[in-house]
Formats: sequence, structure tokens, C-alpha cells
Amino acid sequence: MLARHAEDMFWAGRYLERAEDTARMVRATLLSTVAESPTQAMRRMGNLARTLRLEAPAPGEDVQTMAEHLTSAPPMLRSPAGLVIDVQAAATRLVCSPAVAGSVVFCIGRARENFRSLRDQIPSELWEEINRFHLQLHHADFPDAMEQDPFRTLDSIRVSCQTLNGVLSTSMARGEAYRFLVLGQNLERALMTCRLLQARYLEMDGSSYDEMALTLRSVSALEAYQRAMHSSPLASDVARFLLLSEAFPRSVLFCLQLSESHVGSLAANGQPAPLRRLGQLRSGLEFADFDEMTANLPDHLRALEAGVRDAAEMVGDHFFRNAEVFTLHSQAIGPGAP
Amino acid sequence: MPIPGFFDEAVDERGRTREHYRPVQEWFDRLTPAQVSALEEQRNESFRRQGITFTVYGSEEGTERTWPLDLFPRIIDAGEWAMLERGLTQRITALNRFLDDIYTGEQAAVADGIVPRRLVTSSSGFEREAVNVSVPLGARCLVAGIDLVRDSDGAYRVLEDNLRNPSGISYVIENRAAMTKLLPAAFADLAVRSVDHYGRSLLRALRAVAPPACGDDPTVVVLTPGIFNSAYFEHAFLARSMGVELVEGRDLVVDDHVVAMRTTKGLERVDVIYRRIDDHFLDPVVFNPHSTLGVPGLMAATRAGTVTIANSVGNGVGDDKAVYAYVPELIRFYLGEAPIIPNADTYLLWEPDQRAEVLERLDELVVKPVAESGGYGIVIGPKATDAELAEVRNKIEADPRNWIAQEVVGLSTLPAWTGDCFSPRHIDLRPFVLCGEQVEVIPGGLTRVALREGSLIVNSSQGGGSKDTWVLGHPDPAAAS
Amino acid sequence: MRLDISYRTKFVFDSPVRESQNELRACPASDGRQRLLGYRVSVEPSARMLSFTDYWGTRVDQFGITDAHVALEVTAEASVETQDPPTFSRQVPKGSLADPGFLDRHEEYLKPTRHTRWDEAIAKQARSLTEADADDVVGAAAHIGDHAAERLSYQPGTTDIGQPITEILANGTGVCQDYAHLAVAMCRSVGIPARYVSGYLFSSSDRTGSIEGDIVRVQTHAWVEAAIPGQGWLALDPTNRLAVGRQHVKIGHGRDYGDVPPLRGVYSGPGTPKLEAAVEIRRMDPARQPPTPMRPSLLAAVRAPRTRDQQQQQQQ
Repeated sequence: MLARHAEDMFWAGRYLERAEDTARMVRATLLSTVAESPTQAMRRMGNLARTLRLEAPAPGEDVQTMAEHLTSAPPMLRSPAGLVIDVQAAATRLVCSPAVAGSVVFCIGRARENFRSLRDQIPSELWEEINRFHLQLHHADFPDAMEQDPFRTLDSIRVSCQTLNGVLSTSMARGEAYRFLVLGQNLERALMTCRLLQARYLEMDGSSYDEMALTLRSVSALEAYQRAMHSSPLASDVARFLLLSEAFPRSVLFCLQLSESHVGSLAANGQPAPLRRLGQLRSGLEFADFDEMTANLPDHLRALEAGVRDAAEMVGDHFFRNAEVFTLHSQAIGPGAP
Repeated sequence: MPIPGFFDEAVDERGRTREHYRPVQEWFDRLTPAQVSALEEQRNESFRRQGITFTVYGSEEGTERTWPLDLFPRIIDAGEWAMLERGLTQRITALNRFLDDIYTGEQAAVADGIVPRRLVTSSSGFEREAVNVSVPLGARCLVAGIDLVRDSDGAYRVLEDNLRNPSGISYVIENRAAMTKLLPAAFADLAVRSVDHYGRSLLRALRAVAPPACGDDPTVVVLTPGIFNSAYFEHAFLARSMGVELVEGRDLVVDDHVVAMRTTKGLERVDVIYRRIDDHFLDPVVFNPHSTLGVPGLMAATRAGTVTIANSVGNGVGDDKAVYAYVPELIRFYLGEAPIIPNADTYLLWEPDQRAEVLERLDELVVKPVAESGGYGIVIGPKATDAELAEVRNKIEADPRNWIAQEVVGLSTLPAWTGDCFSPRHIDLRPFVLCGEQVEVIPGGLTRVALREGSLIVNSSQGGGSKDTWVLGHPDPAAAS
Repeated sequence: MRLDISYRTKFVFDSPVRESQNELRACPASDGRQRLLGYRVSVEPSARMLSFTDYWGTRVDQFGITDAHVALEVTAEASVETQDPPTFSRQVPKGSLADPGFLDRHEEYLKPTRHTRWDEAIAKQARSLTEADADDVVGAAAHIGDHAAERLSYQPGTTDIGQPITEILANGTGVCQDYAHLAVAMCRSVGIPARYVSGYLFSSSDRTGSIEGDIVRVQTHAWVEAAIPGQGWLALDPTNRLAVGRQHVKIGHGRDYGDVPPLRGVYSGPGTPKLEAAVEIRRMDPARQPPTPMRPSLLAAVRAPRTRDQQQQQQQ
């Protein structure tokens, strides 16, 4: 497979995942702000924006990252003109603004561009579905609908994401293209879960059920957690579940195991760097002494996130490095050159 | 009824339907206008769904249009086609010989005074970077599109040669696919020769020109400028129908004078490149240094003989319209044969006496720039305004080598659907010729039709449409291929 | 004159680059006036060479370096034996420039190109310089060369490759290739076919052509050849008003600089290069061969008898 096409698929997977994660987290956060004071609610949105902080975007992107746009404490509550905006408007921006790298609109637009260049190699059902989704998001009424009825709108986005995933898994041959896409999705998902825990762990510490529930809901894990852990939740239990569950598809361990198996099938032979790195990360979690880990969880989470990020870069270096596009320079040396 | 002064393909001068059009004519006679409109709607819907579109440069709105296919087919009977096949084979053979002579031969046509040396050196299509770069089998025009018209006597004439990147074959195949679905009954009892083997034939020709050292299973790729090119649809179509990779310049790299594509498993050698990028963008080392579409070092690899580029670099000198005027002489010179399909009568404007005559009669002639294609820059004397004529006169005087003039050829007509009825419209024909081990002419080709009443401009970029072209099988089935 | 030439160019990049592809045109030509005795090219990091002769007759050495590198050094070493050119008869009527056969052979040396595009002012100047020489194409070309020499003052670093000559004239300064392009354009504008020559000049100064010692360190040089009907190509060096002679070693010619650049190429990567380029020429037979003397004008240089007698007289 052409390295360029593989890279396009990998990034399509990452963008699809990012869109879905953004939608889920915005929904969970909005839900928990319903009964809160405006100040509290704003603080929460600020926290969310930090969680969604995006790493360096794909090569060639020069859009403002969401972090620059929204993080530092009150600015995310400001409109571009500097006026304070409300929670609803902030949420709408996280979902609808094409200028915010990581908004749903932005991510789906990018995913579509990536699919476009290998339209010949993806099922036309997939192409039609991403097109439909893209058009849905670009409908003139969409930002209004988001502001008026955010829960319904976010649900419809979630359904669209799930439909896309359904089309993917039922219509795409399990070849290289599919593996790169799923690999991108899972690495992105692992990163997002790491970031969520980092942002939420201190909030949850010794705090109410609501804070635990928000964390779990952000990755649609509340029900799965309740079935798996019958005790009333402790912050460390939530962290353990989201890091180490072997059954829940958004736990970091689960994502790493899946990523490792895909990289293993993609590698022609031997043990390329990304495979070794993923193996280290995965076994580090499998054999972790969790009590020792909880003693210093923020540091562990930071290291884990860095490790996953590192593995994603190694995937790029190993499989796509060749497709990097550099500028061409002409050298011409003339007679009489000084 | 035919338009007086023009040859009608379907109807003779007494208004009787010609023999080979009779079954189709009768079939269309049975349709009501509403039925035709329904078929048209069905066709548009199908093309839209499949994304069969073309791009018009320079127009402001909606530059993507669905492909305009007229339902009434053009039909060529077996005997007539046999003549065309011979004539096209002859022409392409001579043009390949000429190009090989110019680039790697002894320039015999120049040495023997058949063409003046300056005709070659002044051609913008003459690529000095391709001199002494040999091409396996001398198959420089691996794919050629030769534009033919029929004059008022019904005689076929060559209007221009397209030897660089002739496009349109995907439409030939899509037209046929659409017609077979829309009008299956109209094909009844007619042995229409198939065109859908094109992908296989093209691949066979491309593999035949692979560098001799590369073994039995050469790797072929299609090189496209990318998704924003107007013919991207065709590039993807061709790659798909050959089952080969569609690459962009950045997917290829030259390593030790060998071309390879970047894959997830590392570099993979490439032996033949069917490129749909213009010469000047192929390699920034020797051509446009700012081209990011090409592959640095590609020309050196070609020179080293490790890869074959098709069509060959520098073919533009062969379809320069001033060189066109000499093609009949080139056929006599290289093949010792009389040309089977004549040229349109052409004047070379750098010859002072011919120029003087043309400038006198500018309002009666067609004037064309020598290196353009797609109908761009053409001025049709009888239809031009005084201002247009004055402008082209200035241009000719400023750079006479850049222009030729031709007598107006009265393009033949064929019925086309005009919204409520079928009326005669002017048409031409672009057959496609493949040259690998041997020359193969694809039966039929792209018939283009000027949909505006009285118009002689058939280019799709200028409001033209197309027709499916049916070549009838040999009356004796045993002799048919 | 026997000359050993060492051409060396080194790029040092501030960050690694990859996939570089290059063409070197540094090999002295073999023609009636000079004979190549030896030629060797080396590249560091090492690369496989593809050597060929291009359309213009110039030897090209093509090479690529795929892996990442931070420096690229190209060295070409040549030994060459040079002679003075034959003298030209000045009895060449301008009418012979219009001979159809002559025009047909020289079509590509008569048209403006990217580096030699002239305007009406340049053409007018060229006409006024050559009006007097109705039966002397050689004189006309020499006058044009002299004019180019006078119009520009030699100043390295003031012009860029690709700058139009109209702009260079407006500035009034330039280096050898600017002198050459100006002279080529003026010749063509009055119908004298002319070509741009790339080469080496054995001299301590491009500007004066003077020589001190037996080893000089210079850059590549450029001059002009004009087609004289019935006689061949007359070579003139407008930068220093030398008739082209034993000091000059020709690499090749073309319509302008773009057809014979010494080194051109591309590379991938964000790195920007620092460039060191040097040519060292060593005279291998110092005692026997005096240099071509500098003349007050190109016409005088072209006219001067350069027979063996004359050379021997000068040695005494």
C-alpha cells in the first residue's frame, strides 16, 4: 500500500475518534453543569477544554489548536471579541467552529479529506456516509440547533459517528487500509482517556458521586463501570477501570492491546520500533502495581500519555516517514558567484 | 433533413436514412419526446451518482458538470472502419518514426529536407532534455488521440493529432456502459464492437515498453497531478481498469537512477509510468524547478533506461500544428506509402507568401495556435467579429511560427436531442490508438457534438457534448476480431 | 597551454536534507581549440554517476543522494590543452546572415530567451553600433562586445541569476554572465546568431584577465560566441575585452545560462545551505606559453595576428 494512502487512513481514524470524543465529553460536561452556578459551570468548561487539549496537529496544519483558543482559565469563556460568553456558547464553539482544531466540524472535515484521496480504495458506502455526516454538520441551521437543543444535537452526532463505525466494520475489507484506520482510532482513544483522567483525577479525589459520574460518562463508561464494580466508586477505582479494564473498549490497556495487534500484522517482519514501544506500554500496565501507581497517579498518567504519543510518532516514522512532503529547493550556482 | 452544404452521417442527400443507421433510426422513431426526456433524466442521475463529471477551467460558477452524452449514437460500418483503422495505423506509425528520428535517430527527415530544421528547433514541444533518451520499441506515442472530421463530400480528414496526454477514453467506455443500460434494445441485432477491453490493451502496451532488464512482471503505475486536476476521474478510472497503483509525484522517489514508490513496506521498484502530467512538470531538476507535481531525477532515470515514461517526453513536437502540415510528407518519407486519410488544407504562417494570402482571407479561414489543444485560442474567420480578426492578425504578425490557418471544414452532422426533438448537429471523432508491440485502434472513439445550433465547436470545455460511437462488426463474423 | 582545473563546490546544511538530485556541467569540451586530457568527478557522500552528453554537446554528470546528509561536496578535476582560435576574415557582408540555410541552422540562437530578452532600447543601441559595418559581421559583433564591456561595471553580488538584462542595464553593474547575456541579446537583436558559453578563465581577475603566478583561484566564467556566416563561431569575452584564447577553457554553450548551469539540482528538507565554491587552475607549462595580451578593444583583439611567429617574437 502506498505510504501516503496509509497515512491518510491513519489520520482519518484519528480524526473520526477525536470528533466522537469531543462530542461525548461536551455532552457529559453540559449535563453536569445543568444545576450549577454560572461560575462553577464555566470552570468545568475550562477543565474540559484542557482535557481536549490537542497535541500538535497533522503536518501542514496551521489552525489554532483548541488549547490556544480556549484554555487559560477565563478566556475560554470569552468570545473572539473578548466578551464573556456562556456555557452554551462555549460548548457550541467546541462542536461547531471550523477554526477550532478538534471541534467536531473540523475533525469530520479532515477525516473526509483524508478519505477523498483514496476514494477508490474505500467502500462507497463509507464515502457516502462521511459525506452525509459532513453535510449534516455544514447545514446552515446546525450551530443554532446546537445552541438551542445541545443534547439532541450531540446525540445525533454520536449516532452519526456510530453509523460510520458500523459501516466501517461491516463493509471494509480487513486489509492494510482498515488496520491503519483502526490503529489511528485506538491510539487517539488511548490518548484521550489518559488526558481525561489527568484532568479529572484531582476533581474526583474525595469528592461526590457526581464528579465520578461525569468522568465515566465522558467516555460512556458509567454503565459498564457499574456492572463491573459493584462498590460505590472511589477515584482510584475509576482510574483503575479506565486504565486497566481488559473488557471496556475505551480503557487505555484495551486500546493498547488492539493497537499492538494491528501494528504486529502490519509490520512486514521483525519487531519495528512502534511494536516494541506499544509492547512496553502494554506490559507496563498489565504488570503494574496499582497501589504504588495511585500514590503518584498524575505523574504516571503524564508518562503514559507521553508514551502513547511516542508510539504514534513511531508508527509515522516506520510506515509513512517516506511520504513526508518537503519543499523542493533549486540550487543554481552561476559563474561569477561571489 | 440534412443541412445543405454538409454531409449528414445518417441521411443521404435525398433524405433517405442510410443503410447502417436504419435499425437505430427506426428504434428512435418509436419513442415519444417524453420517453426520450425520461431516458435523459435516467442518464444524468446515473452519471451524477458515479461522479462522471468534467471540469471547465475559467468559468465562474459550478465548474463541475455531468458528462453530456447525447443518446443518438454515431455508427460506422465495418468497411469504413477498416479504412480508418489502416489510415490511423499508418499515421501513428509515421509519427512514431518521426519522433524517434528526431530524438534518438539521425534526424533523417531534417537531413533529407523533408522538414526544415527550424521547424523542430522552434517548436515549443521539442524537448531538448529528451534528446538521446531512447524508448523501447520506439513506441513514443503509446496512446494517441487523432481528431477526425468529415468534409462536405463525406471524406474523412485529420484535423489534429494529440500525442501528449490525449484524454477522453474513459468517457468512451462510460458512454458505452451507460448506453447499454439505457437502450439495450437499440443494440439489438447490431454487432457493435466492444470497447471495454481498453484497460487490458493499455496495460499490455505499457508492459511491452518496460525496460528490457526489468524482467517478466514489470510494475506499471499511473501518475496523476492529483485530485484537483480536471481529468482526475479518468486517471483513477484507468488505474482501476488496469489494476495498478494511481500515484502522485510525491509517492515516487529516484534512488541510484531507479524509480521506486513509497509503500508501507518500504520502496518498491517501478518500471513503467503512464503519466498524465505535462512534460514541464515531470522533473524539477531539468524542467520547472517549482513543480511539486513531479519526481526529482526522473529524467535521469529515464535516460539510464531503468524506467519508461509513456507517452514519451517531447511528443509535443509531433502534434505541433505546424508539424501537422508535414505529416503527409512524413508518411511518404518514412513508410513510402500514400497517406490514407488526408489532412485539412493548411497554411503555414511563417512562410511569407502563405501568410500574405491568409491575411487577405482571414475572414474565410480558421486560425489556430500551434501548441494548444482543447479548442483554446481558435478563431473561426466567418464567425469572428472585426475586432477578433484584428486581434488575431496582430498576433500572427508578431509571432507567425505560433499560428496556422486552415480552410473551414464543414463538419458532418448527425441528429442530436435538442430538448424536444432530434435535429442535425455538427460532430467530429477522436479515435484512440495504442502502440505497444503493435498498433491497436480502439473501435470507434469519442464522437463529440456541438450542441448549439450551427456551432462547429465540439470541445466539451466549450459547450460540446458527446455520443457513443458504434463500429459495426464485419459482415462476415468469422473475419471479425 | 596546458591547464589543470579543480572545480569544487560544497554545501553545508543547517539541518539534514534528503533525496537530493543534481546535474554537474563542469567538464571542459573537446573541440577544435581545446583537447581534454583527463576528467574525474567525485562526490561526498558517494553516489553513482550517470554521465551523458546533452543536446548542446556538454557532458553532464548526474547523481542523487537519497539518505539524509548535512553536507554535499562535489569535486571535478580536469586536464586540458588549449590553443588560440583561428583568425576570422572580416569580409563578411551582413546580407549573408539572411541566407535561408544559415537561418535554418541557427534558428534557436536568434530568439530571445528568459535571460536574453531585449527591449526596443537595446535593439536600437545594437543597430546604431553595427550600422557602419555593412560588410563586416565580425566587426559588428566585436563592437557589441565592446559596448557590453562599457555599459556594465564589474561588481560581484549585485545581480541574481535570472534577472532580466533590462534590469541589469538599469543598475549598470554585473558579473561575467550579465555581460555575456547582454552581448548575446544585442547580437540576436540585429540578426547575428549568438550563444552563451560557460567555462573557466585562467586569470587572477575575471575583470581584467591578468595573470599573476601559475596558480589562480577563481569562479567559473562566461562569455559569448557569435555565428559568422561561412566561418564558424567567433568567441568574445566582453567582461574583460579579451579575444577568447588559450586562457579560456570552454565547458559548453547554449541559448543562455539556463542551458549550461555548472550545477543545478533539488533536495528535500527544511535545511538551508551554506555554499562554498572555488575553482583552482594551475598552469602546467608556464615557461612556453605567454598569456593572450589584453587589448584596448575586442576588435583589436580579434584582428591581431596570432600566428606562431608572433608568439615566438613575444618570447624573445
